[in-house]
Amino acid sequence: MLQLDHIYKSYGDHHVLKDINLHVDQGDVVSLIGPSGTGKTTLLRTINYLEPADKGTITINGISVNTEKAKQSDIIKLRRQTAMVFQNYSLFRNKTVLENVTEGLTIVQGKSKEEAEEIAIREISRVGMADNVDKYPYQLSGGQQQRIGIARAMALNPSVILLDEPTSSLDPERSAEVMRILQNLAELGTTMLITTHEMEFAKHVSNKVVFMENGHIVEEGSPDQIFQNPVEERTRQFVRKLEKPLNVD
Amino acid sequence: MIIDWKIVIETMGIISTAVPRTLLYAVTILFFGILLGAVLAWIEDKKIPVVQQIINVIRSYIRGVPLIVHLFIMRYAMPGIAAPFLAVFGLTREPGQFPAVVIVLTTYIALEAVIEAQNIRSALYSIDSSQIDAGKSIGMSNTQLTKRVIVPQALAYAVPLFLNAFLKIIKALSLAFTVGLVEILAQAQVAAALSFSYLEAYIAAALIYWILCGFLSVIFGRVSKKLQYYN
Amino acid sequence: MDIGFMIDIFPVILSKLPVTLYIFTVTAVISLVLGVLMAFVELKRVPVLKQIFDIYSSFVRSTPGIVHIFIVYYGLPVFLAPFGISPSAIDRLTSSIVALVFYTVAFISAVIKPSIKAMPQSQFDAAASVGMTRWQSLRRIIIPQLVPMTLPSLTNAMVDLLMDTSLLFTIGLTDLMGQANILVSNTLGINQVEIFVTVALIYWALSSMITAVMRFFEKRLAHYLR
Repeated sequence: MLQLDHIYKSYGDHHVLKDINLHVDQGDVVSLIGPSGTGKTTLLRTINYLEPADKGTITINGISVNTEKAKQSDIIKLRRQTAMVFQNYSLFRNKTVLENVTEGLTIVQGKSKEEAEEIAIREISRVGMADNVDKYPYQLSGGQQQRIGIARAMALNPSVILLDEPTSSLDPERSAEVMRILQNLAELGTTMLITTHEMEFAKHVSNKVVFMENGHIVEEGSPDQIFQNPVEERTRQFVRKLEKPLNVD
Repeated sequence: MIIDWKIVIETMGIISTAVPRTLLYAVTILFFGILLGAVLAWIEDKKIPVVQQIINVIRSYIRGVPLIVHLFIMRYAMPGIAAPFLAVFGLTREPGQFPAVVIVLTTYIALEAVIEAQNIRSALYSIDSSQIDAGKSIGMSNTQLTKRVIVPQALAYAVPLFLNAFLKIIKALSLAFTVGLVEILAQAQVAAALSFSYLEAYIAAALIYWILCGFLSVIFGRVSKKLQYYN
Repeated sequence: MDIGFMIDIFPVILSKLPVTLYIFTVTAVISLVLGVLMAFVELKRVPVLKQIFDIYSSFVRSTPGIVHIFIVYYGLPVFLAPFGISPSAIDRLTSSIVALVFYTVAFISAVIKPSIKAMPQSQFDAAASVGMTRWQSLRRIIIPQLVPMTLPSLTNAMVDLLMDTSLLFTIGLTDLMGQANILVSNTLGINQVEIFVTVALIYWALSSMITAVMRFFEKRLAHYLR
């Protein structure tokens, strides 16, 4: 489904991603966790080529792209297999809620306006925003915008949805709402790769957890394994830090 | 080559004698422009209904009419307007002999005042009210607040604008030759008339302006940057 | 103030309005296109071109417009002579447009650059993430947002351009100002104030119209930006 082989990425002397190998099956909900600045977001962005990887191969649904020889047409093909939900929602500011969701369907996938709107309204309703189809992003709260971001991604029916810390910009209540929607999508069998600090989601909704540090994948496994019985020492340290509340020994 | 660079260099020498004078005019215009601008800003702050409308209309007129038209209107109107004042002193002036300096300075200072009034008001509005709150909360008096919080911040905002205006004035003075004032461009034209090398003379003028304003903007840029540290 | 006189000469001066408008419009259109290209080159840091443009910008912003008008008027025929273009083929109109374009492009590019820089990367990313090509993103997402953002500064640049056209009489062009000066010599030194006040009013009306039109578009296009 989604396969990353030997992905490397550096900015000048700074090596952000070092030999990343990852496999995601259809229906997997993969949580990517780890300390901040460790390359999680960069990894996600190399998959849909918002950042070009320096080396390695990205394969989605049988379409394989060698990052050292990638052409523009390859990049577009990759992007059409994925959809992204951004930390800052990134809705098109000059389009209404409905248009935000139909843009990709009409312009990129070539669907007719009627078909696109049908699909769009279905996804917008699923996230509970049916009353707001004609509003512009500036008229919506953060939580509402993020729900539309999710609807936009879902409407494209991608092979995998990439979510980059989707709740980091939201307050706890909205965060929980979005998490519930994502849980819903997970139960429907949507393939998702999500970077997150929400450990509850990682523990209970995802079926696979990947722990990254310093640009490497340190360990990957089921939530039980990562959180209860980590193999690597660094994983153990990271997980332990999460359990400890304030330093009130 | 088609351009005689020797003449260009020579002309640059001739032109540069007009630079100090031009700078002096510019400083004068900026100084009085800021003074009058401050007065205008103070008046506008009062927000007196009719006066404010009149000021807005005048501002729209001044900014919507080319500088050279203002200059020409002043050149032909000033002798008439000034005649009664001069008569008090027992002086008369033939229209053609009205000092160009007076025409130029009056016009440019008036225009500059309108622009600076705007700059001063933006500068005062740009002050973060939270800074004033912070000052009050530690017990500063109003004078202290003005001196230590308002003025430095307003200056940090306004000084770059003033410096920029200075450069604009130097360039705007290039139109003053039309009413007979001697500054950089006028000097270039004198040189051109003498040597019949118009192209070389104007290239020389351009180079003088480039060096002068380029040099000044670099310095002004550094000063502006330094002021930003206080924000 | 002889209002009757002003009313009489008003149509005379106005008869040259087409000249001013023609020069203004042609210069504006060419400058906008070139200004966008130049902004593009500078933002993409195209190696040699960027340096040339930086020097060009520095030169234009440090020198008064009237100097450009003179240099182009005297210099363009000289410059083009080796290419076999006879001096008489370059009339005042062409010279004016060339000078004004040269002068205006730098300012327009200086206005456009910050707008493009202010465009959040996230808008580009979002468009790319749904699979749009570069051109699709620009056309449907980026440019529709850039235009209303740039309009206020662009309005100032356009008004400045109109003001700059008033200098063209110095090379003998008969536009609004040119006609005014002809009238001054024809009326033998009386009513000069009236003549220039009339011209002033015409320019005032023109600049107000330009500002009003651009404000209209700005309001209409910016309703989705906050």
